[in-house]
Amino acid sequence: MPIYLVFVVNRSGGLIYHAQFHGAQVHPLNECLRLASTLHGIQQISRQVSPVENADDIGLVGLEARTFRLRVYQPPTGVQFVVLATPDMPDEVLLGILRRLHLLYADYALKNPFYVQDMPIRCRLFDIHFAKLMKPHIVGPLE
Amino acid sequence: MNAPGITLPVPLLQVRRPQSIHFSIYALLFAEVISYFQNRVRSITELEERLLDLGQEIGRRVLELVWLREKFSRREIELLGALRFTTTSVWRFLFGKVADSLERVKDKENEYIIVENSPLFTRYISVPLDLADLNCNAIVGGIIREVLCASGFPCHVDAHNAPHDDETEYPPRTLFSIRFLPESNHNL
Amino acid sequence: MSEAPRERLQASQTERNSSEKVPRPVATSAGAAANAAALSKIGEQAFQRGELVNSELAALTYGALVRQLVLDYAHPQQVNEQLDRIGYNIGLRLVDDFLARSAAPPCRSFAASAEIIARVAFRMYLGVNAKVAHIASDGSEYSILFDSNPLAEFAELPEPMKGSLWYSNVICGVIRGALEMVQYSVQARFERDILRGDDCNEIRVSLVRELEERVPTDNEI
Repeated sequence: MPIYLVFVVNRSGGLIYHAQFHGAQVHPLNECLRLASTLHGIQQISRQVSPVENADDIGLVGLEARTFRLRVYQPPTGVQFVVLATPDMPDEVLLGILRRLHLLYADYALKNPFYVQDMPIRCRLFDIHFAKLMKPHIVGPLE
Repeated sequence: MNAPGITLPVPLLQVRRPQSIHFSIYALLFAEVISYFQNRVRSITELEERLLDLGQEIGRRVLELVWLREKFSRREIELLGALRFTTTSVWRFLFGKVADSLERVKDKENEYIIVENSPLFTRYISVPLDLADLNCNAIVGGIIREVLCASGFPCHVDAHNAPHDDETEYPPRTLFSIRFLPESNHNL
Repeated sequence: MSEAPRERLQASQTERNSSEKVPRPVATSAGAAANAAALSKIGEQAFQRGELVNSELAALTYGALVRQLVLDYAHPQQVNEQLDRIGYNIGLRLVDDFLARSAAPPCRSFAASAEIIARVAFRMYLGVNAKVAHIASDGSEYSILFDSNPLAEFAELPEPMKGSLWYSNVICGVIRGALEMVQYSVQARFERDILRGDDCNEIRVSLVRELEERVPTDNEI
């Protein structure tokens, strides 16, 4: 039950980090950018159409299909963590991974003085800890 | 604070209330210090110099505090003693641990190296490739330098990156190379 | 990177059709005290769980930074502004750390942010107990009071700066930056500072506007 793909999308819909793993259809970077921004749009719409009056827990949390499961985690700062996995991957495992990813973002991106907020994450330490986090859940790195 | 006379705050000197703050806020403060200087310098060397200077300001006060708390009765008059004081007492004050090793440089009378395998200040910092030589631990170099200088052992301190045995391990270790000036070799 | 985050943030505000909005009064429930106690506990737990550093090292580092600013800028007022700006940049980044580490309940209104900042964030990050006071009747302003301040542990203001420098002004910036990231544009300023001879530290936080149209919760209707 592997993970296919991971995105980090900033609050304006820009893709700031992505990783694709074996077993998935490979998306070129341009397509990833478009996917991220589409997902951001859907997130905005889902917030607007929410009929429930609860200010914090509205919005898209996931997408299920026969061939994959997409899980989204969006803390109130608006940054989105997205994972695409096989459908048998339990939701709590995926959410756990996304919360850990949020912590990595808070530590190895935001606490790095050379990282500019909302820009693509190019931090060696983030890559290293991201790889450690993903290792048990992937078949093999693609890139 | 109010009376101009000598009113030493006794708790400050003797009663050690173990107080701490969260490392997250300290790491962000340090990151902002780096950004502040980065916007005001033109080169990596200059940035390291500013961090070193800031470290010296901190180091002078660290020495007084640590000395008052731990060694009230003795003062280090031996160079090696002052170095050991730095790698143990001062290190514990700064990082809550002792330094990983203290070595004398071969064939050099006055040069020593302090090795720190997992430098705390730069735990979250990935230096971009175009600044690859930068070591933000220069601030710690400044602290070490001032601790030793103010103890009566004038010296220069540089912070270098040194890869681990397994080179893929990152962040690299930090070596603080300490070069004592001739006047450090006094025998009191 | 100094100015960039602010510009981007303003750009995203316009996209979001920011709205002037008068906040409704907070429901004054009997459970408020219990709530505060629960939040204090969350703050304490987050503090204990966290990796800690010597607060005296922090005091000396912060002191060296303030000293640097006093050397770089002629007027204490400019130093205050720089400290606020540094704090703002910290706040923009700290809030994700807070959300990922604190386990604090979500902030459903501006008024609710008061207790969360005072009880959880102050305890968790600075190891100090703070409380909320002087809440404006329309809920658009509150004060955070705290007695001990680790940043100012060794500081003493020189006479010429006693009336002008807010030594710990960085905290105001942190509050401003952090709240802005969760859609509350605020002003935060010191009203009282023990370093100036006041009997406690007081930071006044006032809502300027909410940055996103939010669905009102049951309590607000």
